[in-house]
Amino acid sequence: MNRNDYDDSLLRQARRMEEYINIVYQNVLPQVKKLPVKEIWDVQKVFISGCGDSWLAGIAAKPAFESVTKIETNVMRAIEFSRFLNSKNLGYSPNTPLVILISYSGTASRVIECARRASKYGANTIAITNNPESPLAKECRYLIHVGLPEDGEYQPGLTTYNASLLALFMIALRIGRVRNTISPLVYDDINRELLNFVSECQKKNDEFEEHAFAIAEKWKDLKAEDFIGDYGDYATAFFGSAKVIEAFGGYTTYDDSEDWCHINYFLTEPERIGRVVVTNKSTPSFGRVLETINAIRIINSPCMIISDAKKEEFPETMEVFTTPTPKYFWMNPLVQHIPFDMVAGYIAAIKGVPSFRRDDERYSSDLSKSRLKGGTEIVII
Amino acid sequence: MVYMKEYTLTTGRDSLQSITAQLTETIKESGIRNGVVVAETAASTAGIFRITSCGEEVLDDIVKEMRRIVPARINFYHQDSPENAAGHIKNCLFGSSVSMILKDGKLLCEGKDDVFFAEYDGPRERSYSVCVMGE
Repeated sequence: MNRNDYDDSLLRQARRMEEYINIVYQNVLPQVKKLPVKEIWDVQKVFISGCGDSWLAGIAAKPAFESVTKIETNVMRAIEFSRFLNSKNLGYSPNTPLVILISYSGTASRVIECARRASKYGANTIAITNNPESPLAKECRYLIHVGLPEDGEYQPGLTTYNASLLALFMIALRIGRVRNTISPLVYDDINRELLNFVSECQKKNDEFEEHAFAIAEKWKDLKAEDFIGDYGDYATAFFGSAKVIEAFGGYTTYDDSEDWCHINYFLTEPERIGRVVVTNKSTPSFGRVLETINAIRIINSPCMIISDAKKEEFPETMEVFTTPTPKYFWMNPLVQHIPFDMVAGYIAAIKGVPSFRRDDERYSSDLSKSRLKGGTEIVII
Repeated sequence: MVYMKEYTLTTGRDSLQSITAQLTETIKESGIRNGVVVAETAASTAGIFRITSCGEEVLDDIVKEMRRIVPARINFYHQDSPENAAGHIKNCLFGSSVSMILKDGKLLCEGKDDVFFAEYDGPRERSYSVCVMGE
């Protein structure tokens, strides 16, 4: 098989990652600088919410918020925030939360509901979206318009995920700068490093694609893919799992390195399950992840590892994608989903399966609209 | 004759760093014996000023008084950050340059005063220039 005979949206998006990151960075920077000092100064708690990839962007950005802003940061699924969160968390004082809501289209019903609920209790809200005229943008007090070109190819979500994640990083930096939790020297350094890091990763694109195609050939007939990651890496793992379903409709599961040993380890036919581990040398759970990887080796599962650690750190049989080490550990999620995005893209192309089952009317976009948008929106008091 | 030299330094938060040695070094390099020496920074949230040599306690008092006079508040119109907005005002109030008389190859105030680079929104990489004019 020749990889040049296969192509997919995920592959094309991965090739343009740096270009899109730069577009979003240039668009978002002047907007975050306008977020008012007083309201940033007031924040005692941060809530981040969204659906699907948007929620995952929040999980991926939590380490950045905690590291840069030193403010307690809660990432919640939209349904939890809108229907279950105790409203005492949303008042101006004593909690004074900043609620950041993410939806690329700005039309996801549950996220709009989150905005209405937060606003009702006086919480400060920021919408991250690509649609400044959307209901979400209008419901929130402030808008971060990521500014992706309207004619881009964004499904399955990769570019949009990176856009949301980068916007979250930049909000965290703005908060850190205003509250002086990071010095101007560090602020400038992080801003430079963000773009340098993405650029360094983009240089590895050809190497990763070659490797990803080789894995796709071997994994295309496996019965499932199983993802493992902790803390911010959990978002990358979960995101990869989502791409399995979105790109080629495969079966998949995900867990953290500890619970995987308690639960997913026992899945039958382990030699027919591809295991994908996301981990980094700086993570406090790196030692535990190595034990988990050893368990994967013992049960003979095919395994790919995405890490900034070198191949030599892992058992010989593992397929290792070594990504550059960022100066700030929390930047890893911005790029570490790329290797598996490529694998998923190649598997979809080899199988000839269109993303989101577009060849089957049961999954038509009209039905999706009624499933995700335009549903009953209520505000829980 | 005019002789100029630029210096860079890494500042700390609310730091005062003596640059007196750099001034005397520039004077020596210039070979100028009589005239005027100017030290100036183009930074908008840092400054340069001269005070009598008097020990660490006075320097601490100066930093604290500057913060008392111009605290980092959230209601400045300039919305970059509270420290940054206060820094612009300190720069304006306390100055960004000093000029001193040079006589017989020595500053008139040499041995009595020190010249300091003051950071109001750091740490940062900063620069300042020293200009010696005379003959």
